[in-house]
Parts: sequence; structure tokens; C-alpha cells
Amino acid sequence: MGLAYNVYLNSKSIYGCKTCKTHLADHDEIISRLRLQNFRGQHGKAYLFNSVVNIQQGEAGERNMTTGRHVVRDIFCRQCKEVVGWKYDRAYESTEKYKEGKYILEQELLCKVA
Amino acid sequence: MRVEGSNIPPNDSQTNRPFSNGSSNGAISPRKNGSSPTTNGSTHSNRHGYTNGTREKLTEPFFGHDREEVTRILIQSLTDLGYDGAARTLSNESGYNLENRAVAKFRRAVLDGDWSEAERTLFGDHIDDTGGGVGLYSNESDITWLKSSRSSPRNSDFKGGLPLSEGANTTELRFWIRQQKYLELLEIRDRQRALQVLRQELQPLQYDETRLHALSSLIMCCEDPDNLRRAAQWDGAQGESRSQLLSELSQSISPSVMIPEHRLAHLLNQVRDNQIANCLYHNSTASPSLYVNHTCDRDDFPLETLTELRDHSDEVWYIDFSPDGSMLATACKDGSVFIYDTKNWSVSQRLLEHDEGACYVAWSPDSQHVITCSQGQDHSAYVWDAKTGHRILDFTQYTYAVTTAAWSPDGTAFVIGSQDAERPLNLYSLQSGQEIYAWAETKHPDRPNNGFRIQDVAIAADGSRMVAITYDNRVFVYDWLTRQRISEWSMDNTLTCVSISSDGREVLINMNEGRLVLMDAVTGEPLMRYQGLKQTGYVIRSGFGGAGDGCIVSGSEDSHVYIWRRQSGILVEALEAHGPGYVNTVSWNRADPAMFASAGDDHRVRIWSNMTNIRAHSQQLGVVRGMNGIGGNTYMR
Repeated sequence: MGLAYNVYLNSKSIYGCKTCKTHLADHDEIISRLRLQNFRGQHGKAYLFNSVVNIQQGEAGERNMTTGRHVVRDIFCRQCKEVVGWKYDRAYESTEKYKEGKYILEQELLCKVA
Repeated sequence: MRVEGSNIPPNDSQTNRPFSNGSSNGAISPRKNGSSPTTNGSTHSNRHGYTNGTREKLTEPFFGHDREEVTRILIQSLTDLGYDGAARTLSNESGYNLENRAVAKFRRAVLDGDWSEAERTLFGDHIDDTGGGVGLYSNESDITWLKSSRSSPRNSDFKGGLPLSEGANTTELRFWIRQQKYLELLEIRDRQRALQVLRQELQPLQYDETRLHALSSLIMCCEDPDNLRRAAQWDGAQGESRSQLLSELSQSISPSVMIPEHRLAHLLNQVRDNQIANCLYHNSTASPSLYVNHTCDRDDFPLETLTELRDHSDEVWYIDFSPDGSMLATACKDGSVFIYDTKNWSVSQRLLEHDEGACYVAWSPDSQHVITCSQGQDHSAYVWDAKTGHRILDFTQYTYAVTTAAWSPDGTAFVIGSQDAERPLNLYSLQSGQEIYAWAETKHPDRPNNGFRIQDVAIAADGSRMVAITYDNRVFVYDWLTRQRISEWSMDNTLTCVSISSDGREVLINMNEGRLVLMDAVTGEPLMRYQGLKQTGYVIRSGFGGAGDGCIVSGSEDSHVYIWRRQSGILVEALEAHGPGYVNTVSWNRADPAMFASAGDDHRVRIWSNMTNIRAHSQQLGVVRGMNGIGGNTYMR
């Protein structure tokens, strides 16, 4: 539907898609790791972000994760269509509720853009 | 420029009849009924028969207009046209004079270079209150004083000076007269007297210190008049400068005493401009005839589909006609760029280097080359020979979308704009492909990435300015020659497209949501808003169109092409097209005011023309053309 350029973030530290460098998230949007254990995805270390840009969402599905059952959907780079992480739609455990509506980006699939 | 005073004015002092002071009481020569008005030359001193009350003086207003005003304007116009004899006849016959004696004296004084007489006739026989030191009056009281001592314009003689217009600055007027005096003295190498003028006449006025300093530095040029003239940008006593001075001074004189120059022409211009402004379908640069009230026919304005081009397999994001109108380039979401021959609408070249996302094309001023730009995964730019389809230059070093390109008016270089903050706006040479200049930005806390990203760029056809819009909603205006940024302002929403008028004075910007604004290129002041289009988040483009750039056209997210009158902002028409998707861009054929093209998400490019052309076309082909041009398109191929 028409031409729309990618979103560009304005910060000192930006994560982009490793494949095509499209901006995905601002480092400041990482939800503090002080009280949380590190996240691990399929490819290793991952971060939980408050917000991300330039992504397209896949279908929602239930998944068993180390922290319990969640409803998640994969997220893809809008430009190159590669998977970059997932989004938490719903968490069944009450202690995990804080993740709902937030995004995981896997470090392996990211690069530093600024 | 023809100055009234360069001919003998109708009330030349030689006749010196009592009537020539401008009063018109009963001093009319006998009028022969039915006589031809062009009694050239004999009017001068032959009309002796002035006995008060001999005949009725014509006094009725002229269709509601003051007879004296109309007649004096006609006298001026006859002189302007070169019919001096007729002007004199009219003056004698009507008893009105174009100028009274005082004005005539003033005019003579300026043109003859008699400066003291000029000041005397202009300001009156008073103590020169600026000579030798502190002025007794401020500027304002100068004016009020003169005004209060002025009798009715008709009867003023030069004892009180000429009546001045509102807001006339007597100090400024004196400065100009004395400046001319000074320059003329320098020209004849009379340095001593020139210095005297500088010290005793110019300096005490305390007007425009900067100019004063510039003038004093001209003393150095005294030896060489040519040098002086060049340095002062002044064409000398023998040139037009005295006439020009007279012209400028006369603007400060009460208009009823000294009618502004070429008044009739000015009034006719107003009428013409008014008629054109009210003409909704106006699409011509020719000056309309004065014989009829002007309106253009809707049938002559391009509002009908001539044909549709269906060669692309995905959304068409950008199109542009070549400057000579012979080709149309179209850029598609799938990366392909086609060049069409506008005579028969066949594809003459397929430029297939971009893998995806062709989003811009830019024609060189000579229509020989075209630059294509891409976003998405491809983010590169190429320069092509438009006739052969050969790729001449490659620019693949960009990391992010290449959004726009523009050529320098001499066609030797071009600018490429991108969203890559490392190289947002660069100037390259056509011949070598080398970078000539890179526009950048200094560090700023608001911009930790130390750069800007370009959405669109445009260069004025006269080579004066370049305007660029950025991803962070700023507008930059650059002086093209010096490459310096002369203006910058921040807008409050996303900007998607910018165009600049051919004289570099006005810029047209599309922005969210649904706003299209014409702004002054230097001050950023909005001059006109064009309403109706829809734009919420996608790149929608607009531009100037029509004969003399008298229209504004734009695409829209609501499947319509919008056309407005540029001056008034009135919507000419909103044309349904490319539904249900967006109309991404509209391009007007600069070589043919009756043709423009639009491109949309429906993969199609539509060519628009006027009813007159389409009817002629149908007759030629013998095909009945439907509105969507289905039959026509296959026929055309």
C-alpha cells in the first residue's frame, strides 16, 4: 500500500537488524536487567525491550518456555523479513505478566548501528 | 523605459497661458463638433480663443469616474504610447494638464542635474534645515509640517514644495538627490566639490551610515569614471540614473500631483491579473485580450484520461516527464524503471538494475540522462543514458534508502539525497562520478547521531536555491552558488515531498496529516494552503503544474488526483484515479501544459489530457474512447 520509509531512531545506541541494518530498537528501551535474569533465545543471549520499530508480527502461538507457558508471536525485520525475536502476547504465570506486550530481540540477530 | 518628462509636456511653459497652472476654470478652446481628435502639432500656441464662459466645459463624470483623473491618465498614456501631439491636443481640449508648473520644474531640474533647484521645488523655499549640523526637525515633523502648510494639490506652487505622499521620508529623498550629485561630481573628477557634498550635505543627514561609508570609499575611484560606475553600480549622469532617480523620487510625491508612471498600464495589469485569478481553468501564459472578459473553457484543461500504461507489475511509486516532454520515466516497487516515449506511449527503455523499491527518478535538464534511486533492500542510485538505456554511474555505497536526486541547472552535476546519515546529501560530478561536495551538520545534543536524513530535495531551475527536507521534520534552504544554508525551520509533522518554484522563492511541501503548504523560501511564512488531500503516513507527492506553474497538483491516499489554482488555493478538481489504492505521485509535462500523468498502487500510470485533445484523438483513431481507456491502450501499442 504505497511507499513508506523505515523508521529511524534517534539515540546514541541503536540496535539494528544484522542482515540489513534496519533500526529495530533503542538501547534505552531495554527493560532493566537488574532484577531480571538474562533471557535466552534460540541463538543465545536476548534482551527484553519496551518498544521496537520496523518489525512485522507473525501468528500467535502457545509456547512452553523455561519460565512457563506463554502466548508469543515471532517478529521479523520489516525490510529483509528475517526473524529477529518474538513478542509476548500473554503470560500464564503471574510473575511473568510483566513481559506482556513487550518484545525480545536476540543478540545474535542484531548489530549495533550507532 | 520611457519617461514622461523626456518629451515636451503638454503644459510647456512657452504657451504660458493663464490656464496652464492647472486650474481648469473656463479655459477651453472651442471644440469643433466631429473634428478628428488627432490635430497633431498645431495645438501648441494657436488656441487663443479663451474667453471665460464662451462654452460649457465638459464636467460630467466619466461613467462614474472623475473626469479629471481619467483625462490626465489618458494624457499620460498617450505620451507613453508616443503620441505627443495627441496628448497635447487632449490637454488643450480638456483644459487638464498632466503636470502643473511646479512638477514640471521639478522634473526638469532632476533631469538637467540642477540639484539645488530640484530640492527647492520638491521641498520648498525654506531654510535647508539639515545644513551644517543638527537638524531642527525630526523626520516625522518634517512631513507633518509640510502637509499642514500645503494647500490643495492643484494650487500649490513651489514656494511650499510639492505635496508628498503618506509616509514619504524627506531625509531619504534628500539623501538620494545628494547622492546623485556626489556621484556625478566624482564622475567628472571634481574631488573637492564631491568631498564638500559628502561632508556638508550627505553626512549631516545621518541617514544610512552603511551607504555613507560605501560612498566615501568611492573617492578612491575618482580617477577612473568606468571604475567608479562599476563600483557604485551606477550608470553615470549620461545614462539612466537621472531618470531612475526621478522615478524613485516621484513615488514619494502625492499621486494626484504627479501621477505614478504608466498608471493606465498598471490599472490594466490589475484587471488582467484579476480576470486570470478568477479563471478556474486558466492554463495559458498568453496575455488575454482586453476586448473580452477572460474565462478559459473547461474543455481545454486536462481533466480526462487519455490512456493508461499497464506495463508495471507492482505499485508505481514515482513518475516524471523529461524536461523536453518527449519521455516519461516510471519507478516501481519491484525495482524496475521504465522510460516511455510520449508520442506513442511505448516503452523505449527498461532499466532493471534495482532489485526492489525504485522510489525516485530525476531527469537531467537536457533530458539526456536520468538518475534512479531505490530504498528497501536495494538502497542505491544509478545514472543512465536515457536514449540508450546504458548505465553510466553506480552509487552503491549507501547503507540506507536513497530517497531523492536533483540536477544542477547546468546539467554538469547532481545531488543525491538519502536517509543514510553518513552521506545524506552529496554533490557528484556527471563527468567523473566523483563527489564534489558533501553537506553535513555540526554536532548537536538533540542529534546524537550527528547527522540528518534526507527525504526529498529540489533545486530551483534558475540556479538560485536548493531546498531539502529531513526525516526529523526540518526544512533546509541553501544558496546554490555558495552552498551555504540560508534558512532552516522545523515543522511539526512528517514531511514527504518538497518542490521549489523556478525562481527559487517559494517551496511546496507535503506533510502529515493531509497538509500541503506553499511557503516563502526565506522566511518560511506559509503563503497558501491546499486542502482536501489525504495523507497519514505514506509518501504522497505533489508539484507545480500547468502553464506558467499556475496550478498545484498532488496525489492522495484517497485515490484521487487533486488540482488547485496556485494563487488562490481554489480546488479546480479532484479526479478519481487508481482506486482503491493511493495515488502516489503526479507529474505535469513541462513541455505541454495540457498533459499530466499520475501513478498509483494499482500498478498503473494514467495519462491525462483535455477534452479537446481527446476528441481530436478519437476522431483520428475512429475509436470511441471510454473513461478508463481500455480500448485505447491496446490500440496504442
